[in-house]
Amino acid sequence: MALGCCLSRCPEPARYISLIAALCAWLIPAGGFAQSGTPFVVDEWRFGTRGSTATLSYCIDARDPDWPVARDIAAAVAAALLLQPKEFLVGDDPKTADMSGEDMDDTYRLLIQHCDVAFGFKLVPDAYPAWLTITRPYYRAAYVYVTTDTGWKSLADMPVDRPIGATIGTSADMRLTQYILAVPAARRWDKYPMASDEAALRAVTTGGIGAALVWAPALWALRQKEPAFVSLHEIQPTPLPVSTADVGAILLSKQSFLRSNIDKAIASLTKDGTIAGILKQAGFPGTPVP
Amino acid sequence: MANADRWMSRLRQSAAMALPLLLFAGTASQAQPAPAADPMKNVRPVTDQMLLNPDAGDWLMWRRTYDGFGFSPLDQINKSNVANLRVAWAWSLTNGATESTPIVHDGILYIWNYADKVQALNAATGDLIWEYRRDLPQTIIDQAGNNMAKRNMAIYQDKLLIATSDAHLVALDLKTGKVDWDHETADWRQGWRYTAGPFIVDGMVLQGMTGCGNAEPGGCFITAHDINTGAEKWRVWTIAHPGDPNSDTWNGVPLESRFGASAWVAGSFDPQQNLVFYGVGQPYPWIAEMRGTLPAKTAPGISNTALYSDSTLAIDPATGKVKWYHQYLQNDTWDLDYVYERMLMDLPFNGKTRKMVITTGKLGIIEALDRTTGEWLWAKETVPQNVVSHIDPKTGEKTINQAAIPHIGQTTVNCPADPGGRGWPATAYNPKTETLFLPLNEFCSNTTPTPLDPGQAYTGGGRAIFSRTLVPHSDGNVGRIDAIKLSDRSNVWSFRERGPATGGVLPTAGGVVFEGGWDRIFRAFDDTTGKVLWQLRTNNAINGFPVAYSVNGREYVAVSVGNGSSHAKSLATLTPELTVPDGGSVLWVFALPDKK
Repeated sequence: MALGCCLSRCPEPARYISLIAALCAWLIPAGGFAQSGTPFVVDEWRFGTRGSTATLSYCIDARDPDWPVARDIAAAVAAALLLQPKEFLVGDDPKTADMSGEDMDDTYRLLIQHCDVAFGFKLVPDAYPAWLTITRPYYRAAYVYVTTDTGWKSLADMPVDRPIGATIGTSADMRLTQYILAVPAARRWDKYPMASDEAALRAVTTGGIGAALVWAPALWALRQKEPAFVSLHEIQPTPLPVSTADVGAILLSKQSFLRSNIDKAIASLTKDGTIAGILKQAGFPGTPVP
Repeated sequence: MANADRWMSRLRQSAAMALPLLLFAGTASQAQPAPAADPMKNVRPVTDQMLLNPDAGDWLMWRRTYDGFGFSPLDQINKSNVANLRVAWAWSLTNGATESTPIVHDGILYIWNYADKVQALNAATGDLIWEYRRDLPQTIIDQAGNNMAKRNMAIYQDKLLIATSDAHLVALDLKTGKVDWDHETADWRQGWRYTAGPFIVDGMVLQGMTGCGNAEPGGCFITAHDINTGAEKWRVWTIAHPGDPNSDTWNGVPLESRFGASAWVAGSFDPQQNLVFYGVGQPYPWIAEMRGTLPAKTAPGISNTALYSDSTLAIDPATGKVKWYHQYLQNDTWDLDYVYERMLMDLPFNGKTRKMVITTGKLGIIEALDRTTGEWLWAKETVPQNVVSHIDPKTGEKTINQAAIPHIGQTTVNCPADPGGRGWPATAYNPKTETLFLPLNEFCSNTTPTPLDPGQAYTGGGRAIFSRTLVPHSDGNVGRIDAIKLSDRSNVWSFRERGPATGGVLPTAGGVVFEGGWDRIFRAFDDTTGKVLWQLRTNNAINGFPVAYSVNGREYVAVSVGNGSSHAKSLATLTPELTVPDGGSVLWVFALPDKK
């Protein structure tokens, strides 16, 4: 909607038409053909081009806590580009991610087989291979510390003999680790790596840890299905700063034109308040990124 | 009469036309090997005695014999004639990571195909006898990757034993391929998986589990199963659990936050001592600061060695009790597994013959233990490495180069890195010459711990970026085959090549060593000089385990090739100019020309 409005205000209709035509043309070869340096996919020839030039095929991952929000934002992006939305919902097995280091290969398969763009990826510097590109963010959210002890206002209030359970490998986990490494041993909390946000929240509710460090959107999603998590209360990260992450969508690097237009669409949807409205309606703990 | 004449005339014309066709057909059929009446007729049940002392022409387990040598006693193909080696037959396999080891018994070759297809072939002709296809969950097929490759199968009695990609153990009837029993060991939806196959000991099926990452706190395990039903008989956890005397080796991290220690390679067996030897992989996540085992706690009674990662476990197969263990690399923070084949041999050491168990980890350091007690005996380095700065010659205790330890927020250089100075492609040992042959690779990595949290579904991964490079002052060669005489640990020869060494090695009594790599070249070396005696460029990366067998007095060498293994792909980043096809997994079988 937003980008469409922007383009419709452009003084040159021909330019508008050519932009849309070019966008459509770019969508044609969006299917699978091997690029140098891309992951190995068995029989990649099976994945052809997506035929429709008037469709934006996008992946939403049902294993992501923010997927209902991502779904609405993706639909808004498609509308802004004047394209028919075509959603592919990924992931009915929530625990199939492993630590084999091949996870990005799965993403490649998604992008050649099912969608031009996949929503729900954090903007982490240097975390993506060269064959991937990421859009500008459509929301920003925080990592939060939660506890059962209502007497604690911040992490600084928690005794050092109480451990922190942090979901493994997040940027907030790494920041916490760096802090722990920097302070004298007597002032260190123990940090337990937790398999997932849910495992961290479960550990804090059972008293195994003093505080859980989790992704706020995950806390938002898990509270909707687990009453025990509703009563957990958030504390300030002090003495650490607040850790946040921006979330966008990924495309194959060769899709530079489509990426550019999705960026414009996100910017427009941010500016006109569409994304803020989606987040607010869901009660989602995130903010648009100006 | 007229009708009869016409009939005879037509018959003659038809015969005249048909004769060349019949002759041609006869010629064509003569070109085909004579079909065996029933190739399965002579297949005998595999006994304990056969496993202990296999027929020279058979290949009954992953490394052929319980001692893990991977050596063939066949010598028909030898130094004097290997140059005449020809393709006997070939068989297309399912495209995908192809890391297979054929099983050969009584003239039948059993081969694993990517994505859980098993075939029984006439080992002399390549004719298909039966095929088993597993109906895998679509999610596993969609995930693809390395996980649908398996490095080995096992054979016992009238059964072929396989480990499946959905974490089941299955017994197939040797003669028909029909399922005898099917046992679910773990829930694949939780991330459990198998990449190695079963190992038969004392009539039981032993199997190591892998994939023990985020969703499986508490680590991996090795299980033993009833040969007739698959029922689990015992389980050895590869991470020390509460109650285990080594439970306090995880820096105070509770069990539910301990991950990894996969047992992703099959074991060895010492029948004299009735001991099974299994290797255990590294802890997860790979970076110690991320998994909570750094910084080290100073509390009494707590260490951060992360047992039993990177160890040998000596297990009593009757009970599953661990008799002893030895950890080679404490608190591994590089993904430098010590999980590979364990070789059992008796060699001189300090004037005495010692019963040894020898293995080589990803660091490329060969290490020997006393296999009765677990006492560390000696080590020998191969490829350039900068992780271990010193090894205590009495205890084997390693001093770690602090500059090579990855830290959050920094990039450090470590040599080698994740695919290893040696990877899962197995070393092999010729007991006649006391020589160990190793497929090795020389490289380093700029390692950066990185938050890999792009999407909630993709929270796995090694938690580090490995930017692999050639070693300092490299001549450009990455792959390397070393021959080392273990009785005195002297270097016999070393063959170096640009292409990464991505296949297992096969020494034979004929004095040749077979090896293949990413450059698709399958070679035969003179085992005493390292001279290349024969080579053939195959259609794809050689990434399996070559075997030798014989049928009706004729020796064959078989090796499977194919693209898709993460090990090979990782090494291939060092040699971008060497490309291989994305399809075309094939089982190649070679023999000398048939004099008949």
